[in-house]
Amino acid sequence: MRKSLGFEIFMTALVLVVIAGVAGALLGLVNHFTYISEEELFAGKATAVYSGELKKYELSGLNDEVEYSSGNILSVYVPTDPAQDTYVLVAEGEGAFKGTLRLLVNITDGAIVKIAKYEANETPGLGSKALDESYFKKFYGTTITKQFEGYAFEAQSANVSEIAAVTGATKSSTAVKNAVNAAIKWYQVRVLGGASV
Amino acid sequence: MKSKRLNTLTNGVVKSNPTFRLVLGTCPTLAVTTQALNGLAMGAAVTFVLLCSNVMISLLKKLIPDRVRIPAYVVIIATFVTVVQMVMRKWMSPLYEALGVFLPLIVVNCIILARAEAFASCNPVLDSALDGLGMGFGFTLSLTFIGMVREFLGSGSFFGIPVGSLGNVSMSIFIMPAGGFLVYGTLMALVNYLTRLAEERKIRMGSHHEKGEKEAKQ
Repeated sequence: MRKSLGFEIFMTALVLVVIAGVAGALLGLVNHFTYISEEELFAGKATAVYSGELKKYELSGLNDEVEYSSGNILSVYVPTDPAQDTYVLVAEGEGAFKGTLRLLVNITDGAIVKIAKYEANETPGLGSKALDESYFKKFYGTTITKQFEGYAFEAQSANVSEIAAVTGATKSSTAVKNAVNAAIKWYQVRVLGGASV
Repeated sequence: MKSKRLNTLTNGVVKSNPTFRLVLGTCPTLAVTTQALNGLAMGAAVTFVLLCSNVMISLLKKLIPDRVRIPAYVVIIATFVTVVQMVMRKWMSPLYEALGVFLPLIVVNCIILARAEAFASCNPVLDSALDGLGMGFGFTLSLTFIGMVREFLGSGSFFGIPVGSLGNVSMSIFIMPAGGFLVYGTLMALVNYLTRLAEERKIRMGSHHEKGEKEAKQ
C-alpha cells in the first residue's frame, strides 16, 4: 500500500505536534510544583545576611543620580520593622571570571555588617576563594560617610580603603570589590544624599 | 538472554565507557569536573535524562517518522533536561549554580543523542533502559573519578572536605582547563592500558582453555 505524499506530510506534522504538546503539558505540570519566584529565591538567600523579615524597598528610579564605575544595584530591601536602619542590597560587580557576580550587602547604621554570595559562578577552588566569609570580613565595619570613596587594591587617597585581592582569585576579588563599592555608592547617594565625586 | 541483558548494562560502564572509550561528551566532562561533587551531579543528571529519553524513544520508535526523527528526539531530550533543571533549581540550588550553562547543554550532549540514534531507535524498551542506565552510570563514574583527582590535586580536598593542610600546597593548574586535559588524557591512557591488559589475559586464558579441551579429547 503506497501512501500519498500529502498523507505522509500530514502524519509527520501530526506526530511532531503531538510530541511537542505532550512535552509542553509535562513541563507545565513540573513547573507548577517547582516554580520559585524571585521573591522566594531572595528570601531563601537573604537569611545569610539578615535574620529578620525583609520587604522590597519601593523607590522610584532606584539608581537615579548614582554613577557607578563598574557595578550596579539591582534591588534594595529593608526590614518590615521600620525602627531598624538596615538596607539589604543586591549588588552586581563587573570583572568576574565569568562576567559579573552578585552579592547581598547588609548596611546597618551606616556600616557594612554582612556580605554573602547571591549569584556567582566562579571556579570552585580558585575564584570561589574570594566568595568566602573570610574575604568578605575584610569589608565589614567601615562606616560609610559622604567622603568615603570605597575600596581599592591600591589606595591612591586617604578616603580610599586598601584591600588585598585573594591570591589566585584576582578577578573574582575585583568583582567582589566592585559590587561592594556599588553598594557604598548607592548608600551615599540615596540614603546619605550625596557622594564625593 | 539474561547474560545478554547484563552485557547491555555493563557495556556502558566498562567496554564502551562514554568518557574513556568512546570519548563522547568531552565538553561537560572537562568543564564541570573541577570538583568531584559537581562531576557526580552532572553524571546523575545525564543518567536520568539518558534513561528517560532512551525509554521514551524506544517506545515511540515506530511512531516517529524517519525523516523527522532527530527533531523529535531533541524535543524529547530537551523536555527531560528542563525537568532536571527545574527540580535542581528548586531543591539543589548550589549545584544548579555550580553546573551553570552545562546543565541546559545536556540537550545537545552527544552521548544522549548517540544512544538515541544508535541504540534506542532500534531496540526494545527494557534493553534501551538498561543501555541508558549503564551508559549513564559509566559517565557518572568517569566524571566523579576525574573530579576526585582534579579536586585532590588542585584544591587539596576530597568531595569538598579539606584533606589536612594540603590546600596550602595545592596545584591550581589542575582546576584550570589545561589541568583538566592533563588529567583526562592520563586517566584515559591508564583505563585503556588496563582494559587491554584484561582483554589479553582473557584471550590467553581462552586459548589455554581451548588447548586443554583439545588435549582432553585426544
